[in-house]
Amino acid sequence: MTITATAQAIPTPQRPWRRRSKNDIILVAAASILPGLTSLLLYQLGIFSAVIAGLFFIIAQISAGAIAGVIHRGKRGLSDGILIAAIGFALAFIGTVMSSVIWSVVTKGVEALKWQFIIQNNEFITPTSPLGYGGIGHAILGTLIIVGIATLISVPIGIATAVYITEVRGRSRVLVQGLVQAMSGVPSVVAGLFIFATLIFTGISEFNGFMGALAYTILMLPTVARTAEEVLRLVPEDLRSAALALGASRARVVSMVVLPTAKTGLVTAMLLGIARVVGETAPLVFTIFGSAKTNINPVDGPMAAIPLYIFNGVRQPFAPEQARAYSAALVLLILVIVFFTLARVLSGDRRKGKK
Amino acid sequence: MTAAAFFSLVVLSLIAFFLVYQSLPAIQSQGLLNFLTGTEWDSKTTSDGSVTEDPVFGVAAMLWGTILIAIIAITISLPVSIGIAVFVVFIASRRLATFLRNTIDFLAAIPSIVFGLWAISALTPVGKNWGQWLTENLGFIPLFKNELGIWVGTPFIAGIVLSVMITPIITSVSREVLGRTPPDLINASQALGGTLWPTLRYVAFPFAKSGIVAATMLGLGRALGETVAVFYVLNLTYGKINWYQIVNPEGGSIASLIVAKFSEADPLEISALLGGGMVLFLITLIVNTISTAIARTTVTDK
Repeated sequence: MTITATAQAIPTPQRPWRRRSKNDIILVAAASILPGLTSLLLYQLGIFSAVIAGLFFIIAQISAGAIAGVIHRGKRGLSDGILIAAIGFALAFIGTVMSSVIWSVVTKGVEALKWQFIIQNNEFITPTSPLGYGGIGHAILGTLIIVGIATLISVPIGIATAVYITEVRGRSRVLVQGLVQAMSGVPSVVAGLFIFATLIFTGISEFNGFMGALAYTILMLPTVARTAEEVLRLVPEDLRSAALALGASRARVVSMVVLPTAKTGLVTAMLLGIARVVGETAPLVFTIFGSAKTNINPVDGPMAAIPLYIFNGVRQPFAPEQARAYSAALVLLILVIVFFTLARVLSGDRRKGKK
Repeated sequence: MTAAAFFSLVVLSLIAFFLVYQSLPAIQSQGLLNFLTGTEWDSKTTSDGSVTEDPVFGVAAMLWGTILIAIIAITISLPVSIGIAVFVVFIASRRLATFLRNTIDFLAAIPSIVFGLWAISALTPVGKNWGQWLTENLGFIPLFKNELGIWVGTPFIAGIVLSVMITPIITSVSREVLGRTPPDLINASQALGGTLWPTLRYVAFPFAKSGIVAATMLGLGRALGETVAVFYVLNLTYGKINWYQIVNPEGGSIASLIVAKFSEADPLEISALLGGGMVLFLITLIVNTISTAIARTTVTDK
């Protein structure tokens, strides 16, 4: 009697290496489809209102996860099933939001997006002008100039900061790291206000593109410095030792060995920095003032930029101006995607090159 | 090289110095305590530009509003972020994980103004219905009370926008710390029969706890300073503090206050706005410093 009881208590082998059996697949499919289907049905039949159906779906899905977990693994599967259902909701949330963001900008943005919208400026255009006239050519130029100047200032300083942290290894390395971290937390509105308070409010400068570039620099520098720091850490120690053994000075090791090795990574750092600032609006509100004319001189009077154009356009109560703002947002989004993809492709090449 | 390295120190001190210096006139006219605890914000300037009474400037309502929407954002974003991080690190196949990582990083790169447009055109029309439903069905909870009958411009909606914007930040940091859980510990847990939840609960989360706290603080810092997206969807109310009624269209945000009032401000009000910027700067600096400090102890613990 006791022998049989012991025999029964021995669990059947679970074969953990066989991850999915046919039953499992059916179980997972049922647990993922049934709750949604039921809620949809109840909503369509008019038994539940939309909100109730949604809540019912959440509860039903989590219960289904729990039940599937219990069937699959017994009591231990309960928490896993609930967890996986909850994770599914998190993924669905972020997926929905992201497609909704892109969808809303693309659908509302294509209306005014014509070739003329890219190349013309906004002079003589009122908020009610029809969509066939005017454009954001001036704002695109402005954004390119402002971001370009910010890049010229922040990339050298950012890389120098990274070199200080990884190569010079001075005593205050940790302090500098902390400062860069603190600087990356400066809100964009404060960056703009700071430039305004120091240079414009005091009468030293007027509103112009260069002020916008300075505000961007504050936001861009920490991104560049931190990415560059990570990139420089990837340079093999052997290379440095070899160069030092050949009699190179520290400065030469950095300029002739470390930086050339990390070249692609440093370009990535720059691109990530650009992607960080290109859509920032708040710093521009206090620094470049905005303009409807084309102004390509960053130190001569107000300048336009895409984010500021969107910011002002969307507050207008007129449909054409709003459509133009959404198109400008689409242009901005495309710019960001270009810089982001470039950075990704370059850093991907680096990783492959390493392996 | 050293000079460049301390550029950030110079910039940070200059920010602090100039914001304090330029906001002194307003703070002197109000008194520091009134400026920090007052809720009114009125330059008392009439349309023809004449000042009738003494202007009053207080940031308390805006300050609490900023914190309130940041709390809402964190409440939504934290579980979502941790869920995604767990999925990427422990469940997803390598290819799916790479795809998700890129997607989340891309989400972080979307400019805040684009989120602002999304919030106006897509989120507000839906979000106001959710707010209304909360009031009508759960209105007995003080949190969801709404006497005004309007559900547009609530802290609730602003919080949702912010939660979307800080999710990538919290996710990527959580992902990194969870990914650093020693594989030996995970294998050991699985060998002892630990399935996903026990492994997370007893191995991965304790290991990554302070990293996740640091990530949350980082997200909080970002949420506190966010400007444009909040500016579009939040109705700023002066004169009283909306402590907790999140579906009431009465909110505050220092950053939005600055953007909203800036263009029509006289020098004294600009000075007061710079004071608001100073308060915001200090808070984000403190939050970020705590985050860095926590992150550093995690590293040295190992």
